[in-house]
Amino acid sequence: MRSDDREYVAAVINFFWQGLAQPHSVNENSAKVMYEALTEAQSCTASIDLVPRPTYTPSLNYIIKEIAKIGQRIMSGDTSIYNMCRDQVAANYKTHIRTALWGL
Amino acid sequence: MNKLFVLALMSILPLSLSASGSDLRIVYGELDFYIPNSPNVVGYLGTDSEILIAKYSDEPGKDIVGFSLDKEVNTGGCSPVVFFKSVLSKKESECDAKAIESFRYVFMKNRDSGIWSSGNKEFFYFIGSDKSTVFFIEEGTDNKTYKIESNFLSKEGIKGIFSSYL
Repeated sequence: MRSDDREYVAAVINFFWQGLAQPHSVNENSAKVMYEALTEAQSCTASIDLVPRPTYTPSLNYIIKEIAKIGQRIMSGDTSIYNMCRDQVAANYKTHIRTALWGL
Repeated sequence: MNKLFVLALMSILPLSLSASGSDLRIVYGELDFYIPNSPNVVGYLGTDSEILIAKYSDEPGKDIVGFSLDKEVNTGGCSPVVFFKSVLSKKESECDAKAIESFRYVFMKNRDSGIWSSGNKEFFYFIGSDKSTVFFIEEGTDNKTYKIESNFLSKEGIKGIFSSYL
């Protein structure tokens, strides 16, 4: 994973769980878990607020590019699409992201 | 005499073997849980949620049982017990509607949900094919909420984790 991608993936993780990830601790499995969590957050918000659902192809390269784009948006303060369901999604994925960050 | 001893042993061993052979006792907080025997890894992963996992596969992310303290669920201004009962009820609730709706989406969509009760203990379960979560609020602990999760156990297997209480 490129170093700027790592930074964006860490930003996405820290959006859900403040201070949980550093760019150097991010790995491919944590990106996969975050992709799943973000997809759930987006569809949850869509079900409540009618935001269009995302379409995706879950190859690893695609996942990392998408997470990086979302990380850039989050770092610039654009988080509205995820706020509605953030807490509940964070509760659903915390153990899984922590497990992934440990490489387990 | 020897035959009598063997017979006596056989009448005891199947019970003691099935009790100790199929489950592993986990003491987490001040609670007793039972999980399937022989995990590949048992790990304390820390964080403010005190995450403890048992893992039964070498494949990343697969076959996990997790114990933690929930710090994330937005209970919409209600106590956890009132919130979990509200999400499971069709009655109007005093809790924030968006917190209830988003919880239902994340934890109840395509999941079997309900309450396992015994005595004064209530376990709020949300069982899915690929992810299951049980919440338990310990009495008299300022709403300390335990979260028990698995991404591979069946409903029966998950209920078995709480066999000390159910």
